[in-house]
Amino acid sequence: MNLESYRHTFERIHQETSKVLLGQGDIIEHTLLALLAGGHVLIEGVPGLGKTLLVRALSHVLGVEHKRLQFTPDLMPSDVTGGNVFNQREDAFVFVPGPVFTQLLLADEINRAPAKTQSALLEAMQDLSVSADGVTRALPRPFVVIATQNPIESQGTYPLPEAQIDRFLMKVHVNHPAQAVEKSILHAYTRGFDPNDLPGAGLEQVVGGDQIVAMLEGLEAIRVDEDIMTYITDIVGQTRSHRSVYLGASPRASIGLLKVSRALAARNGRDFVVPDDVKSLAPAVLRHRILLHPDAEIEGVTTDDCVHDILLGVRVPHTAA
Amino acid sequence: MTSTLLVYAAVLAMLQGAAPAGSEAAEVLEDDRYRFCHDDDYRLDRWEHQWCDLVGEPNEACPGLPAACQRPPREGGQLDGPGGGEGDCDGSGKGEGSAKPGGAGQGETDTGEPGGKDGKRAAPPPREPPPRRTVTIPTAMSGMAQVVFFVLIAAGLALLIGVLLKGRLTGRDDLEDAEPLVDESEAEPAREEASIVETDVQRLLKRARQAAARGDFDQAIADVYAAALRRLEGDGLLDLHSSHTNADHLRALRDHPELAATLRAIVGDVEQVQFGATRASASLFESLLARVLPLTARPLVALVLAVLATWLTPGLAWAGDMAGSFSSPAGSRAVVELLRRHDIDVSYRLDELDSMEEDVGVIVLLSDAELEDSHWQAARQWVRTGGVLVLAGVFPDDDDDWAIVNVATSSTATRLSGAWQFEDRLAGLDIQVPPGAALRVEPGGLEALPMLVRDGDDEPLYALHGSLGRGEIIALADDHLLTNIALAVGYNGEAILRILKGRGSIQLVTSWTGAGASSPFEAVHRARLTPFIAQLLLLLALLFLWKGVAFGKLRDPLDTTRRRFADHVRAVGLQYTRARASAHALSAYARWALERLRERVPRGRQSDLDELADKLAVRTGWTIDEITSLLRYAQAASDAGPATSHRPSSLRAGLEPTAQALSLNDADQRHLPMHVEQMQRLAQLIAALGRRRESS
Repeated sequence: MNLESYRHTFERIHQETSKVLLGQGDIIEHTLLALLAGGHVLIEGVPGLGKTLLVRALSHVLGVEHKRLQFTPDLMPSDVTGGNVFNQREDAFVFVPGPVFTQLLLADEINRAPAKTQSALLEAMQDLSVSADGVTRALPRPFVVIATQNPIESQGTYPLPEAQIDRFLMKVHVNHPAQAVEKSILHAYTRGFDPNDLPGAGLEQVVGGDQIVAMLEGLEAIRVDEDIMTYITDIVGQTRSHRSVYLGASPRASIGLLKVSRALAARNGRDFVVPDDVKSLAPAVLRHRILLHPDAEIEGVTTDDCVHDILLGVRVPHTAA
Repeated sequence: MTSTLLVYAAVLAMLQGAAPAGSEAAEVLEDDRYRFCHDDDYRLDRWEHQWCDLVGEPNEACPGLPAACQRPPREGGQLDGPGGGEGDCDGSGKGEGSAKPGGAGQGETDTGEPGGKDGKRAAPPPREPPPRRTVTIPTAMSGMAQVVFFVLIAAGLALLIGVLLKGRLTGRDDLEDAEPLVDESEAEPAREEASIVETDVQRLLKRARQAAARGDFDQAIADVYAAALRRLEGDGLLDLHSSHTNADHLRALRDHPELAATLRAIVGDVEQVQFGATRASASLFESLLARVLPLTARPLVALVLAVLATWLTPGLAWAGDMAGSFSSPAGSRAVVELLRRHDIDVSYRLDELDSMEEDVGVIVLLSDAELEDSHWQAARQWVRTGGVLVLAGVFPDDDDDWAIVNVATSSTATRLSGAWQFEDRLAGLDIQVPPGAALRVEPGGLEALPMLVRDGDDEPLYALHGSLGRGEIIALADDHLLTNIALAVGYNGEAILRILKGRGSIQLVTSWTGAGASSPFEAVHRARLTPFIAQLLLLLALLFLWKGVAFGKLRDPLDTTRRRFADHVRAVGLQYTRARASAHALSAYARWALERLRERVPRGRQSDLDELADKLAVRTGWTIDEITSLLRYAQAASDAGPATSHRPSSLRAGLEPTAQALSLNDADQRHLPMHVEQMQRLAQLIAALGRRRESS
C-alpha cells in the first residue's frame, strides 16, 4: 500500500467514523493511529460519552469482528480468555474460547474488575496469544483491545496494574462535548439515528482485516532518522529523571512512540518521521506510563503536566534555536 | 548720519559688482513646477489676481500667466505661499480699496472707499500691523517626525541590545544543556561550535552560501532555513525555542496564511533532507535560498522605508511645500533659484531666531514669519554685530529702538523707482508691484534712507535702507517683490538680485522657521502630545500593575528539596478533604488532643475523663458539662479510629454508646461537618488551657 493510498484510506475511515461520533475528531484520530500502529488503546472518560459507540463504529468501518466484554468486580480470568470445559459427549476437555478471541475487543470499564482479571489480558495484548492449560492459542490478526475506564476517582474502581497499563499504546481522554456538538447529537437522534443500526446511519465499511494488516506492515517502510530515535529516547529518558515522576516510562513506551509516529507520518503522506510526529503523540503515549511522586500528586501535578514539561526541555533535532 | 552715509557707500560698493540678471527670471520660470506659467487651466486666486494689471500680454517670462489672468479668480483666495497674506484686489475698474498683505480670511477690502488707478484714492486707513497666520499642521508634522525618528532609534537600540543579550543567553543555555559526549577530547570543538547559536539573519545567509560553496549542502540548507526562522522571529511572528518543532512554527503563523504557505513549502523540502531520504543538493539549496531571501528581505525593505520616511519626513514636507505653495505665484521658490544661479547661498531657515550662525549674511523676514519678542531682540542684536536684516512686510511691534517704519495700506502706484541714493544701481529698472503697502518713517526712529519709491504717489516709500550698529536694515512695505509671480513682471528679478547680492548667505524666515524641535520632549510638547503620552504611560503603568509583564524567559522555580511542615499538613488535609475522610481525621486529632490535655494537667487517674474534665474546667473556665461532653466525644472518636490505642475494656464499654452514635466507620458517616466542628472545639480547649497557663 503506497502512501497516498494509506492516507486516503485513513481519511475515509476517519470520515466514516465521524458520521456517528460527532465532535470527537481527536479521539478518532488517536484511536485510529494506535490501531494502525498495532497498539491497544485505553480510553478514559465518564460514562455516556460515546466510548462504546466509537468501538462499534470502528469495527463496522474497519470490517473486523468485535466483541464487548463488560468488566465487573466478579469477572474471572477465564471469563476473558476462555477455558477447558468437560464435554460429556466426547468425554474430554474442550477449550471454549473467551471473548478475547476476536479482532477488536472492547473491554468496557476495565478498571471495575480486580487486578487478577485484568491481568488475564496481559499475554493477549503483548503476544497476541492466549495460554490455557499449557496450550497457547494465537489470536486472530489484527487484534486490538480498546479498553474504557472511568476516572480512577469513581466509586468501585480499581487502578490498573502497571504491567497491564504499560501494554496500552495510548491513553486517550474523552471529555464532555461542547454545547454545539451536543446539540448536533440531539439533532441526529431527532432524525432517527439509532446507535444499534450503524448501517442505517449510513456508515460504510471502508477496509477489511487484511487491509489493516497490510497497512500495519506498510509502516515498516517509514524511515526513522537517527536523530528522531535520539529525540524519542531523550523524551522517554527524561520521564525517568523528572522531579515529579516516581516511575518513568519503559522502553516499551519508546517502541510505542516510534510505531505510532510512523503511523502519523504515513497518515500525513510522508515516508519519514519528523519531530512533530513524536512530539504531538508523546502525551498520549506517555501519560499513563509514568507514576508521580505522592507529593506531586498532592500538589495537583498531572502526568500530562510532566510530559509537557519534559517536551519543553528536550531539544528538537535540527532546531534553529 | 555719518554712519548712515558710510553704510550707504558700502552698499553702493557692493552693488557695483552686480551683474544684470537678464532673462534669468524667465529661465527660472520655465520650470513646469511653476504651473501658473504653463498650465492652461490654472486659476489665480484673488490675491494673485492683483498682479494681472502688471502682466503684459504676451508675457515672455511666464507665457501662461496672461491667460490665467483672463480666467475668473478662485473663490476664497487661499494664500498658499510664504509671501504674505491674502487680500482683495479684485481689479475692478474703480480699483476700490487695497490689498492687505499678510491677511487671512476672505480678504475683503479694508476701507471700501473709492480709489485706485485713477488717482482718486481714499484717505489712508489707520495703521495696523499685518495680521499673522497660524500654521499648526506643519509644526505638528515636524514634531511628530522627530518623535517617530527618536522612537525608531530607541527601538532599534533596544532591539540590538535585546538581540545581543538573547544571543549570549542562548549560547549560555546551549552550553548548559549540552549533553556530555563520549569522547571529550574529540568532541570538544564540535561542542563549542554547537553551543554557539547564530542568530543574525545575514550572517546565517552568508554562512549558508559559504557552506554551499564548499559543498556542504546539508549545513547550507540548515542555515538558510534558520535564517528564515530567525527573520520571522525578529518580526515577532514566532518564537524560536529548542523544543519547538517546524509544525509549531507553522501553527504560530496561522494568522498569516501567505507566510505560513511559503514556510510550509520550505519546511517540506528541509525536512525531506533532514529526516527523509532526499539528499541535499545545490539545486535544492538554490531553490530554498530563492524562497527564503524574500522572507528575509521583506522586513529589511520595510525598515529601510521606515528609516527613509523618518529621515525624509521633514524633507517630504518641504518637498510638498516647495512643489505646492512655494511654487505658487505667491511662493518664493523662483526667487531662491534666481539667487542661487548667481552663486548666492540661499536657504529657508528652520531653526529659531534665538541664536544666529556667524556665517549668515542676510536674514529675510517674509510676511508670514511668526516672531516673538525674543526673536526680535535676537535679530536686533545680530544686526548690531553686522548682519543684514530684510523686513519684507513684517515689522516689530512697539519697539522704540528701531520702530523706524510702519505700514500704510493706501498706496495706489505700481511702478517703483530707485531713490536718488540708489539711483546708480536701481535706476532704469522696470520694477512693479501691485498697489497697496507703503512705508512711513516714524519721527525719532532709526535713521533710514529711501531705497525704492512708488512713482507719483503721495506716500511713495516702498523700501528703506537704514543702519543699526554695524549692521543694516532693509525694509520693504510688503514681500510682493520676493514672490514667484513678481519675476514675471518687468525687471523685478534684477532688482531683487541687486538688492541682495554680495551680502553673504541668505536665510528666508517663514512660518516654517522654528518648527523643528531640539529634543524629543520638545517635539512632543510642540505636537501637543504631552497629555496623550502622559496618559498612555499612566495606562501602561496601570496595565503593568494589573497584569504584570514577563520581561525575561519564564523559568520554573527552583526545586526545593525540603518542604515546610505546614505544607505537609496542608497537603495531608487536602488529601483528607478529597477522600472525604473527616472521621479519620477526627479520630487522629482527638487522640492527639486528649494526650495533649492530659499532659497539661496534674497527674491523677489519667484514664478518668470526669476527673480530667474537672481539672480542665478549673483551668479554662469552661463548664464541666461542656468539657465532659467534648472529652467523651473525643475519646469515642479516638477509640473508633483505625489505629485504636489500647484502652481498658471497661472504659470502652462505657463509651460504646457514644462510639456507636458516632458511627465513624459507616461509609455515610465518614465525612460530616460535625467532625470538623468538634476538632475546632478541641483546638479551642487546648488554646484556652494554654492561655490560662500563660496568664497564671
